[in-house]
Amino acid sequence: MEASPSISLRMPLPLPSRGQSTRVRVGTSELVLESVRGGYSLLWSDGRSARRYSLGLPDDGAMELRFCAPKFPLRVVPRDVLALVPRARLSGYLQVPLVPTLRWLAGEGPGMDVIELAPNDLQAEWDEIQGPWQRCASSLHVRFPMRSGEAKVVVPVHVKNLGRDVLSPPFLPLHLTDGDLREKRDSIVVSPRRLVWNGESFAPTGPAAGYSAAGRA
Amino acid sequence: MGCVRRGLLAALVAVAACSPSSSELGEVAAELRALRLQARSASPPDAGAPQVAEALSPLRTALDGLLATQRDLQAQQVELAREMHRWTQLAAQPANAARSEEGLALAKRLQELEQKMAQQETRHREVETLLRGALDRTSERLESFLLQLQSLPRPTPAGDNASPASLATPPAAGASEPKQGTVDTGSGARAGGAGSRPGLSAPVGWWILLLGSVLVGGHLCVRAWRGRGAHAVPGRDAAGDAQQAHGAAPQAVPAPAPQSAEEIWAAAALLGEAVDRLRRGKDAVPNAPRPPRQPPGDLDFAGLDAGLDDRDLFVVEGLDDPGVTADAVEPVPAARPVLVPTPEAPPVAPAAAAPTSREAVAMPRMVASVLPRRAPAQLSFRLRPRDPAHACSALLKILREDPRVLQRPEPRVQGTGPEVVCQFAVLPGLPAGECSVLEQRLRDSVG
Repeated sequence: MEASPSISLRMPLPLPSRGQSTRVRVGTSELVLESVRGGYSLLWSDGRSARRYSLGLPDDGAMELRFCAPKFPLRVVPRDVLALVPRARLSGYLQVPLVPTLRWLAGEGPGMDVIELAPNDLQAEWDEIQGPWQRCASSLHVRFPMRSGEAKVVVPVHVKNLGRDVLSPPFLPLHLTDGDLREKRDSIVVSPRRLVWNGESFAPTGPAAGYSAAGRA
Repeated sequence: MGCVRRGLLAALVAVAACSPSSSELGEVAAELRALRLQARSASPPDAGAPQVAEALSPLRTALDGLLATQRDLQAQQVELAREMHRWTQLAAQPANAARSEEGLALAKRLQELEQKMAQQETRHREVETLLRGALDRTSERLESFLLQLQSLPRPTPAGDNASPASLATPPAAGASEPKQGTVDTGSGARAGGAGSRPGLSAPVGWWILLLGSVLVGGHLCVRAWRGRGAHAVPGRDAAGDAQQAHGAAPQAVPAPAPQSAEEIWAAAALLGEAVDRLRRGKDAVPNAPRPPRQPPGDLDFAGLDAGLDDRDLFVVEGLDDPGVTADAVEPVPAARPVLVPTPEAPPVAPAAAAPTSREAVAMPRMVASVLPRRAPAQLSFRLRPRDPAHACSALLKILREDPRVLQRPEPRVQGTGPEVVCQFAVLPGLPAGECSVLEQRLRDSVG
């Protein structure tokens, strides 16, 4: 299967017949679901490393590959130094990796996540005050990023400094949920995020500000 | 005989007197031996550096002379290289001059060609004007001729019912149809009158057909000519089309002129539509309903949003229209909790004066109140690697690259003698199978 520059939130993964395999390419990564004796074998390779899973799946159901938002709040580390003088605003696009998730759909009920293929560029951290969060790095694109087929979501951000000092944040806090993800321009995007620095901390504002605890649908 | 004997004896005596004695030879040999012994017994330091230097002084002089010669040669080579460079420049200058002459000649040639093109263009315009005038005059004459025909008495009334198409014989049917279509607005009766004369119908009809074909052919020639020159003066072509579509005689203009006019009108309509859209968009901006503000109790940061313009959105499809706000694409989750800052929540971050500090950019309080703050699962186990010295770095590399491992608290790998202790935390909710596979991967890496 050829690499497609476009990406959609859900990609069906038909169960192969015995001896056959189903291949799905996502950017530089590839997923191969193979029917073997006694079950199914799943191979996920990102070009540098590979993970292998053995799956037991019934015949009455369907498998799909979904791209989910990171579970925990994000700290996006900009690859460029951001510096905002007081009352200044900076806008751009960030790219955040998504989590490819194999979801099993049985009957009419809600599906269940079988395997989460955590991307390597999404690192998790935890402390007693903030709890868990995930960290990733991204450039602040001034234009809508070119579609690459990678499992990433484009996040438009507005950053405004209402403090009295120059703001040079070490990271931009974001929180995404699966319900926020939309398919636009053959890419996955979310509505713009507005971050206002009030002198002490970042305050998300606007309609997309609410941090939802709904999590995954 | 006696004399011979005496002579031989005298010769022997003389030879014996002239040959060196053995004692002298021995003395020389002894002297040589003594010198050799003296030379052997003399120690190397005794030879002395000054003596060596003195012995080598002629060689040094020769070397100095050689070096001086070499320097002279080098200087001469440099001078020669400079001279060669000068000569090269001198040799290249004529070539450049030739090129410049070539360039001048080409420029002249280009100017000549441009002048020729301009002359041809002027000639084309003149010919076009002549043809247009001829066509206009021909159409006027044809019209007057038709008027004269109309003024003649009609021999049979049945001729009124004769269709104009009946005049147009099958070979000229294609040419007569558009003419009839254009004539229909103003001179339908004339056309009917032209075809209603049986006595004159045959020659007059043939004359009309001949004139019509000439007109159509001339017009097609003009069109083809102007089509060739369209790249040079496109605006003039369009203007000519419009002028011909509106000002030329309707009888003489077949289908192509209205077609070009239709294109122009279609383009104008599209342009007008775009301008209208722009105007509507501008008018709609001030009247566009502002997105609803967050209720004051919903977020404490509503006041901070005062400086933000919600309509200033990004170039995301669906958001480009100024009338569309973020609400249009913002999904409404089914069960979004009301995120009220909880007073019992622990302080998120110290009130940092310096915004660049890491802790100052803390998550809002509601995030901390919503997210679980349970300590993540910790994994700790001991390994007995083959090479404890390199095992720690290898294990740490794996732990830092694996996305399932939390980077804070930082994973620890401590080597205690032959054993290595690994301690790290994994993602909350990570399945036990993943934990086990991760541990086994670490064991295999140092096994």
